[in-house]
Parts: sequence; C-alpha cells; structure tokens
Amino acid sequence: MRSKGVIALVVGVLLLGFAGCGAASSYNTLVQADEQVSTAWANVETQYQRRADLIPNLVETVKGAADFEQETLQSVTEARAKATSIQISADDLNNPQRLQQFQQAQSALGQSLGRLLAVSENYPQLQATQSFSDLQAQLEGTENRIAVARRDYNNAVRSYNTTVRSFPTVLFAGLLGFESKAAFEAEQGAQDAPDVNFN
Amino acid sequence: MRPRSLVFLAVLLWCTGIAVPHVQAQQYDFPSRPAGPVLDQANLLSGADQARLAQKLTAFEDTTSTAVVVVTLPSLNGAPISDYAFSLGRAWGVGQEGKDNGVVVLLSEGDREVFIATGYGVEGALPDAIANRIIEAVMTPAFRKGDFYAGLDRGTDAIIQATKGEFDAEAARAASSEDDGIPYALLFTLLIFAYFFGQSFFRGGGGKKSRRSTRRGGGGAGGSW
Repeated sequence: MRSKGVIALVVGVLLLGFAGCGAASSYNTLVQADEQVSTAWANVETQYQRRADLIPNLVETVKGAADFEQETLQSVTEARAKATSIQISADDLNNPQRLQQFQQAQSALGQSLGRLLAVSENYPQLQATQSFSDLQAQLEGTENRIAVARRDYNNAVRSYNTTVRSFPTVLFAGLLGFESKAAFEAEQGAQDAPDVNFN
Repeated sequence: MRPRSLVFLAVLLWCTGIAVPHVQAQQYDFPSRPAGPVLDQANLLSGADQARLAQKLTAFEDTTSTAVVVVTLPSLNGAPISDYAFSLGRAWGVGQEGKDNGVVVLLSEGDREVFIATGYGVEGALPDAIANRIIEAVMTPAFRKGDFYAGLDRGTDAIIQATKGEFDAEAARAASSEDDGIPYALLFTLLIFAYFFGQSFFRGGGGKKSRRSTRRGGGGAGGSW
C-alpha cells in the first residue's frame, strides 16, 4: 500500500519536473528566436530609414542642377512622407496587415524613386555632377542592403515560426504569449528593384 | 532501476531542448574559400600577380584587421552581382565576426561587371559612394584595356586608402581618365602613369574583348566596363 503511494508521488514529481523543464527550455528557445527577429527587424527599419534620409538631399541636388519636372519630385516627396509615417515596433510584427501596409508604402517610395532616376537620364548635366553620381551610388547600395535586410528578417521569422509551431514548444508558446510573426511577401518585380537602369 | 534511469535520461534530453533544424537555403554554389585572399577562377591573373595581390591584402588585414578578398569568376550565370557578392562574403565569413569588417571585390569576366561589397563594419570608411568612385575612376578604365591586374591592384590600393581616409577620387579619375580636354598640367602625370601602366600591361597579358558602352546595373558599389 505504502510503496504504491511512493510510486505515485515519484511519478507525479517526475511529470511536474518534466513539464517545468519543457516549459523553461521552450521559453528560452522562444526568447532567443524572438530576439533574433527583433534584431533583424531593427536592421530592416534602419536600411529603409537610410533610404528615406537620402531623399531630401537627392531632391535638392536635382532641383539645383536642372529645371526638373516638378511632378516627379513631388511624388517622391509625398511617397517619402507616407512611407516614414508608417512605423512598426517589434511587438506589432505578429500583425500581417500592418506589415503589408508598411511594405506597400515602402515599395511605392521605391517606385517613385525609380521613376525619378529614370527621368534624370534626360538631364546629362545633372548626371555629370559628382554629387548626383554619389547619391545614385548610395541609393543603389541602400536598395541592396534593404534586400539583404529583408531576407535576413524573413529567415529569422521563418525560424521563429518553426519554433513556435514545433513540438514541444507549441504546447507552451500560446500560454507564454508567443505568436507567429509576419514575413515580407515577395513583391512583384522585387528582384528588379535595385536594378533600375540608371545610365 | 533501469526504467527509472531511462526516464531520467528522457527528462534530461527534454530539458536540454530539442534542436529545431535550421534549413538555410543555400542560393548559390560557392567555390570553397582559398587559404589566401585571392581566388582567380576566371584565370585573369598570373601566378606572380596573384601572389603580389595576396601579399598586399594579407599585410593590410594583419595591420588593420579589415579583410579584403578578391574573387574573379568566368560568369555569374545570371545571378545579380550584388547579391552574389554579399552572399559569398557571408558564406565565407570574410572579416572578423562581430566586427563585420570584410570587403569582397567580385569581378565577373563574362558579365563584364565588378562589385565591391562591404560589411557593416567598413561601411563608415568605405561608403557606397566611395566604392562606386573607385570602380568608375580606378578599376573600369584598366579593365577596359584588358589589364585586370592593374585594375584590381590599384582598386584595392584605393580601397585601402579609403579605409584610412586618404582616397581622392578626383586625383584618381584624373590619373586614369580617358576623356578629351585634359588640362596640360595633368598631361605630365598621365605620361608617367602611362609608363607604369604600359609596363604592367605587358606583364599582365589580358583580355581581347572589344570595348562596350558603360552600363551600370548591379548596385551602389558595382559597375561594368
């Protein structure tokens, strides 16, 4: 009689320990993956911000060097204002709609920038200035870095989401408040974005 | 005793966490990293040229910890050069971990494109605008003449100067400019350069391709010749 009670107690303690350990290790794995997503996201934002920071300079240079089409300049300025108004904190990353809005605003900015640079081909004296060629190089470089940062972010999210949905983590993720996060969708023509033919 | 130790083992395994396998998509088939900083897959450099270049870059890495690798490829097989260069730098782990201070100079002979990919750690010293100036003013003029060693040698010199804050694009452009209307003061310098250039040209051998019009595509620090 007594030995049965002991066994039940041992089994109970073991089960509790089992669950506790599982929860703790799941929690640690989740925190780690979550932290990686946050870091990757911060980098995405930095690169987009960098592009936005280059634009006032670009607009000034273009204005200064040539009698440039007002419409094109205006659409860039507007797209920039719209894109910088949408900020997503790392806590909001589980909301796919928000990320989609962000992505749309940024890609609209990318497109109007592409147009500006395409139109600038008609202004040879603008193309010949060192400051314009530097800005162009910086923009191209930033587009490349944005592409890299986005891919890193998507990889981090994929690995986080895999963790959240894997056994045994899946048993605790919901309880501990870890939800799946949204990734960037491949854009139509996203591959060509940095390849705007500038010359 | 036996079953209990099994349970114990199971709990231990559970506690150490079950590793989620990370499936990292490998996009390209990269060549394996050579021991030195130069990989000449397109066979554009002679053995002596490679050794000189490698020696210079190794010495630079030893003193500043900034790693510069030079890679030439016969063709990119359609890959965007910027993406390939960045991915290669990562796959090889160019530069010190944590510092991210690697630079990849990638040249594709078939695509006639060159790209300088910089890690975050070197970006301050070698921003995209400067990398672009180096490509346009220093490297592509030599590549157009088929002198790949001179382009890579002086290009890496310029990268090294840039990281020390000493690169002067105007001077470099003047030195290798092909435009008309060169001021007389520069003619003399040009003659001197031409002398050295001619020397390295005959040493280097080089491509026989006809010149094409410039078309830039790759990215901030890229260019074609």
